[in-house]
Amino acid sequence: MDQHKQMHKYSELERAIEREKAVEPDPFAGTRILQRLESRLNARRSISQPAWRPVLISVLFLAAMTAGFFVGNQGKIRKAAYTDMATQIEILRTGFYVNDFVDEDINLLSNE
Amino acid sequence: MTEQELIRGLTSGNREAVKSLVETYQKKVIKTAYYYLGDMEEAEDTAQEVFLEIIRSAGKFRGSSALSTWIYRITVNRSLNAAKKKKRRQIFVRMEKMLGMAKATEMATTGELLHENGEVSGEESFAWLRAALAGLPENQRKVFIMSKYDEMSYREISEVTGFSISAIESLIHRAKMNLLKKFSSHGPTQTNA
Repeated sequence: MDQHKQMHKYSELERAIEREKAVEPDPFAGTRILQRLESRLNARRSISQPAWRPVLISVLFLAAMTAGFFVGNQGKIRKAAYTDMATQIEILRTGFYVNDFVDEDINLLSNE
Repeated sequence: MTEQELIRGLTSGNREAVKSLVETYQKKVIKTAYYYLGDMEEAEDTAQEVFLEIIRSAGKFRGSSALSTWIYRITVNRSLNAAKKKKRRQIFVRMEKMLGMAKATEMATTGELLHENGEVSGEESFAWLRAALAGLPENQRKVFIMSKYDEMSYREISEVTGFSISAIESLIHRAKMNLLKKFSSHGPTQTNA
């Protein structure tokens, strides 16, 4: 390619480049980009909770259930112990041949 | 908002900082992406990805270069990646063309839409020019666009790319020669100026 022709070609190329450079973005492009950015950032924030939070909630729930079982069991043990004691008292009373009706006879207490 | 305030705001997720970032840099980012991609819609999508990366990486910005230089570097890298993906899509279009299934508009993006007499009309010369630029080696394209489209000085190009001034001169010269070769082989008469 001779130099003159090359220069002519390059001028045409530069003219095409200048036309491309003159292309302007849509005036609302910035608004659209900002809206899409905000929705993506908000979606990220709602997903990205700390990993330890659900673990902590599960552990606390399990701990509450375990505590509940424990308290419930303690109640059962005490009730069983009470029942056991009541039975022993009955046995002792039977051994003393103490009559319930006698308990209620107020004359027993009278010195007459 | 100063650069430091902007970076601090972006790091802490401040909405006003995001808004300021987009308002200040959106035109430059979109236009730069457009020079690589040749399509305004794709340039907008790429610009969105650029801003997202800036927001995510704001905490890593150390201030060793100007904020605008850092943003520009991210824009160029993202645009080049998007252009590579686009090129891969165009390969599929070429394959479809071989099978007789490609549409004319798709052929235009590969720079093959020419009139029968080899002349290129004004609008189509955009497509031709984009295809010619896309056909350049990556470094030549990068440096040529920075110099001719973004009107950056050789020193500024050197700061962004890390190339020496002499390497930049050489790349621009080679890019010009390659573009002129493509211009000649496509039959260069312009019908609409």
